[in-house]
Amino acid sequence: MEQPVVINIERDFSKYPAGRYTPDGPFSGEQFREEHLIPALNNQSGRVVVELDGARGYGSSFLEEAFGGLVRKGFDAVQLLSRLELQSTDASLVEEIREYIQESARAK
Amino acid sequence: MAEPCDGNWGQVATWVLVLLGWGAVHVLSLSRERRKERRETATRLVQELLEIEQDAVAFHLSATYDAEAADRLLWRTGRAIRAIQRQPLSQLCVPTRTLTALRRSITISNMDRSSYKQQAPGSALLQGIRHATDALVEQMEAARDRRYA
Repeated sequence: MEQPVVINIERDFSKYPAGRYTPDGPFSGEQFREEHLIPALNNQSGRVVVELDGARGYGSSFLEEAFGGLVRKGFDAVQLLSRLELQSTDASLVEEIREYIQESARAK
Repeated sequence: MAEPCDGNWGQVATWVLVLLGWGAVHVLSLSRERRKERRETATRLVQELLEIEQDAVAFHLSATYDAEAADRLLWRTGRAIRAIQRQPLSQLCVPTRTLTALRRSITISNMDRSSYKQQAPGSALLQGIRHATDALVEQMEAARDRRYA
């Protein structure tokens, strides 16, 4: 069985993720999606584990662009929801991310 | 002739009752203190939410984008939401949807330098923040009063 890819946002990206687009700052949702999520999803067909704990905080604009943006980039929402394993002690973050994926699909 | 143990049994029974009574009062006192502490924790969190609302409104009303204020808002909002999901406040069983609505109302739009525009008083965004805060505060206060009356 394929080993899941694990992305720990604090370790692999930044303790201070913020902003929607690249011009908003060095650790935007757009950048996280392009540099981490998309390569992880494209490089293998199994699960991608995203560990959310440890970062200072998450703005909804970051989350929406990073995860909702995957659907706008062509990823299938149902497959995303199945492949992405979101891990956080903050259940509201996981729920919010899943909402953005579903909303992006409805908006298409 | 009276049994020499009669008086002793009476005293033993009295002491047992005294100890049981003391124990019951002690347990009830501890329970009442714990309820009071949890009630105060919930009240403090409600106060924090109202301050976050004020800061959020001030941020979006500002003439210029304030990166420090944005960072502080993100942090405070996230911290409050996590606290509500941990003991003891998790006992209030606030729906996750209400928590995500708060974060979303404050931070999904007009939060980034590239998109920031000074909001007018009463704008839809500010109304959304007030509505989400009100909903969460009301749920917390109602749950607090039910659980820790």
